[in-house]
Amino acid sequence: MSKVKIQGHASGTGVLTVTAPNTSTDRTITLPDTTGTLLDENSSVPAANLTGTVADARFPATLPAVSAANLTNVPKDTTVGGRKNILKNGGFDVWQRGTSFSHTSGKNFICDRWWVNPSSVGGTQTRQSASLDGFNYALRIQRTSGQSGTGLVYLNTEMESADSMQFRGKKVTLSFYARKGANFSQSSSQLTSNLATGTGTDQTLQTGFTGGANVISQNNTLTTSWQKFTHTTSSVLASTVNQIAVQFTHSPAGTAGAADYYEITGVQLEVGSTATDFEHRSFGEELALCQRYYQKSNNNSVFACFSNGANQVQFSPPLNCSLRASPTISWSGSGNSTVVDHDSTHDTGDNNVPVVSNYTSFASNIHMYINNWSSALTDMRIQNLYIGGKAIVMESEL
Amino acid sequence: MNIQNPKYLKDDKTNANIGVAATIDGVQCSVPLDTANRHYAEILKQVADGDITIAEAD
Repeated sequence: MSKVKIQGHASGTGVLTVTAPNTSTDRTITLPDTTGTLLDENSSVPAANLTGTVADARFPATLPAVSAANLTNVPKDTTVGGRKNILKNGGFDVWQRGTSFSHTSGKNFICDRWWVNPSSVGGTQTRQSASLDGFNYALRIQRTSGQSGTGLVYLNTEMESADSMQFRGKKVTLSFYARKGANFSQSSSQLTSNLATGTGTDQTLQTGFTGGANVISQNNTLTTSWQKFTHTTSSVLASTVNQIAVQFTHSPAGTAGAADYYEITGVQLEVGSTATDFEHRSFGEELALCQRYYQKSNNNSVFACFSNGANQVQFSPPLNCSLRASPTISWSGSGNSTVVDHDSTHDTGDNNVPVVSNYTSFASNIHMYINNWSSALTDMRIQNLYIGGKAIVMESEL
Repeated sequence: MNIQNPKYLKDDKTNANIGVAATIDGVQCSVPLDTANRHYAEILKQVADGDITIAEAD
């Protein structure tokens, strides 16, 4: 039988008294089977001994205020609000030019803000359903079955300088989702992702950035399942950075099979060293951001105009927002144009592309001419211009 | 960029050049005389390289 021993202290002079509570019930107190000191109300409890779940009722309805100075280990330099994705159309939602292309060489825009240079590799660039939770679409870069071109296939998006300089002195993180087709022929199924910087102004990677450097260059091994890849710059961007671009490259090999492609979506570039969830903006918001670089009118539009001389009409089509720079103009589609004045109908069948005669940045105003009407117009008369079956395309990409 | 048949466009009244008409990558375009425009910048480059010349307006 174990025993209980109460032992006095050799030096102390106080008297310790064990008292009983006012109770009529018998109690048994079992001492712990270990060596140590019993706790009192002033003792601290080792954190390792705090286990189990604290009942909700033990928390006050209103938690005490915490000073921001005491918030530690919160990720630094990370945008926790909106606009964290520097890139436009990173989710490949906006396709104003169409949804299927077959470019083989040169710089060619496909979905908004993204362009390809397939380097003579015969293939297609198409919008696909993403089949990935959280995303509507993905971009598929495919080499056509039977093709044997093996050039470097580029996919790029560039930021203008006005939007790039703010990231000087900061680390940035690139993230994206990608997967491959069953016949993706790039060696080791690798898709290379680059983040390029330059010191020039509003240049394009097609001709190269002044002072260009790849601050991220990583090979990403694709599988047939979606994976998220993330890469952070090893140091902050230089104080001379004036332009930023994201680039993906791969080189097909051999002869293409039926599924020699990769798909990509959810491309995000953000400040900080942490890849956060992709920032989904509304379609209208994303479209508006893209229209700074590309806009087109509806087919079958009517514009107020006036005749300038016998063979020219001038008009100002409405813009959805200010374009980046004075745009190149072309038609999308085909059809006749007609000038109608108050007492007669003039020329039809005109297919001259309008000419931009004046453009004022930030004024959302553009002034166009259409020349060479075959019927003589009455000079300086207010008229209406009907453009049927085709749209006016205005492009001011980098 | 494949630029074919570049020709200046002029204002009928002032006779000043106001743009360049050209077929660019197979699409008929009007390009403003603005070096911030990527097509005009490329036209100037190809002119400087001696690859193309811009015809005068009619």
